[in-house]
Amino acid sequence: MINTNKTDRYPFFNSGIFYGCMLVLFLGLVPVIFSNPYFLRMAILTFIFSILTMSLSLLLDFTGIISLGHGAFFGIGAYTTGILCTKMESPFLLSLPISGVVAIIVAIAFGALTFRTLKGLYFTLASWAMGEIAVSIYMNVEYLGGTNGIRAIPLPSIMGFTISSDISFYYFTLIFAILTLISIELIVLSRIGRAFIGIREEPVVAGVMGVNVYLFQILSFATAAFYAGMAGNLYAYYESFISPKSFTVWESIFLLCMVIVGGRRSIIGSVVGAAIFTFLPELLRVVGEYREIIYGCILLATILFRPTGLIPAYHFLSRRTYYNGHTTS
Amino acid sequence: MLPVFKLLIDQIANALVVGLTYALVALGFNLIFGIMRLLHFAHFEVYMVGAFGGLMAATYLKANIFIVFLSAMVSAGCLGVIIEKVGFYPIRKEPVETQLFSSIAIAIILQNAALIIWGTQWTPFPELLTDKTYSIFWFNISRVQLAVFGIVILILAGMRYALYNTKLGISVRAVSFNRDAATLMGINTNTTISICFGLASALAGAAGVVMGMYYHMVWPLMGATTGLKAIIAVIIGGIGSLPGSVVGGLILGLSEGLAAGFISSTWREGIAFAIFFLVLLIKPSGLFAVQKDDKY
Repeated sequence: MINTNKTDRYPFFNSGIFYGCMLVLFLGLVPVIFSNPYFLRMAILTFIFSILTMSLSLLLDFTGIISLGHGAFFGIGAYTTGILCTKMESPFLLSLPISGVVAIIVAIAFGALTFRTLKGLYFTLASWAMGEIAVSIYMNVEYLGGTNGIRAIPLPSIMGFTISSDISFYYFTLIFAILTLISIELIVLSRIGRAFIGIREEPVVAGVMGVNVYLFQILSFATAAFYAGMAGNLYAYYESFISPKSFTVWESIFLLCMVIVGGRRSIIGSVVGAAIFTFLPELLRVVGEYREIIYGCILLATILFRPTGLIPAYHFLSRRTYYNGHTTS
Repeated sequence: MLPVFKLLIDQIANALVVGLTYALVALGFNLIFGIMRLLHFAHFEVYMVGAFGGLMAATYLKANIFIVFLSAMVSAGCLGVIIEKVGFYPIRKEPVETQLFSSIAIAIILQNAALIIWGTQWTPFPELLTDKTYSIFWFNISRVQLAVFGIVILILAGMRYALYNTKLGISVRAVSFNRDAATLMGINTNTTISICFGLASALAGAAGVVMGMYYHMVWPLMGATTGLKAIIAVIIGGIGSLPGSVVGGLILGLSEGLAAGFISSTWREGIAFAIFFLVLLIKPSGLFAVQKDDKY
């Protein structure tokens, strides 16, 4: 059989890794070309939100758990960082893992309590309650700053090098977004990821096949919470100011919107979703106050006309998608 | 008399009104959940639109209380049917979560449309009844509260009658029980679901007017704040149970009132959600569960 497809003679140039490298190269060169501070700010927020949406995608698209509490974990990370940096003067390299670990601990405690008895939409309700309780705690505890939040979080510094300018923040968050993308891809493509997908498709069958559904659901939830906590850490450093308003359940709902619009079967899709929802407000400046309605309409249109989202199933680290079930809509 | 008891007694009438209003919203929510297995987030925005429908009738038409309620229920009911036709009819075969997201999208659209039309400020609700307080021993109750009791109980009784004693109600219950079997028995499922949405939304609209009347004001975010509590009332009471919704609403109204009275009003939401979470953990099917529904 003669292969007429020329690109296959050089499989590397047709592989996801190659595309990934090109994308990284492109993103790395972008701030050199456009150094507009407004654009940089949007890009940095996109990277931070893409860490959140990728981890939420692991939860929603690959484990089939609808969580309205992702904003709470984002908040836990941000508040841990805020407390550590303003009250204990901890360095960046310490506050980053601690924010992730605190989020993991809360997620494991919450998951252990709820996954045993609550399934499907009942779990969604419980996570919603958790999100609201978290916001209520941020609002009312004096130590956490109440409604004013925490101000004047110092800039992060790694081994004497302080990240202060927007351009350095751009590369800093870009690195974290790439690391998140690669690690979540690896999780999804591993045996653990297959167990997650099994749970999504049919929990009972996955259980019969030897997957401990309870444990793997907690694992997925805790992993997602870990990334969300780290995203909260980056967010706190970048904004240098946090308030309970940024971590409400509506925030979690917007994160879900990003994942849904971006693509239900690919990790990279949720990055696209985060980018769309961060840049769109700026592109929609002209329509002013109708912005949020347009958000809603985009979401509704996506659900009605393309329920699997904009980006089809694609894993840039693997060309196999067969076990992933729905390769296209 | 101890001030604590005085506070408690004062809170009871208040909690009853708030709880019964939650129950009205919750009942509609419950109907929709029963028939579609859908957490209808946009239901609370329908409640808000109903309140504004009542406000429009009261300010522009200078209508009396019955016309106000009627216009709120009609506007909310029409909106409910439109929502069902646009947002849920095309995706009825899709999984439950897709419908949930569709509902969230509709909620976002409605809420922001209301924010644009009516602004972010509170709008005063015209006084439909002249206020007067009756007191029996230490128990004070105002005329508005009494009127609210009357209206809500009338609506609840009417719903009960409609669901159990009319042909329409029986078909609604049949479709909730098993949609395919109901279709085979010659029930027009699409029409029944539409009617069910209309009815549920009309109840939410009535609840919106009750809230507006009681607090003398309405605002576009009332769906996202007070309306969302109704969902908690449903879960506490047990999904699918009519008296459960009422009891859940009462528990919530009372706990909120007491939390505001004894601890601090800023903790109100947190405590409501903590009760909700505890009920979910201890008895996920709710206090008045009718049947064990493991799947959702």
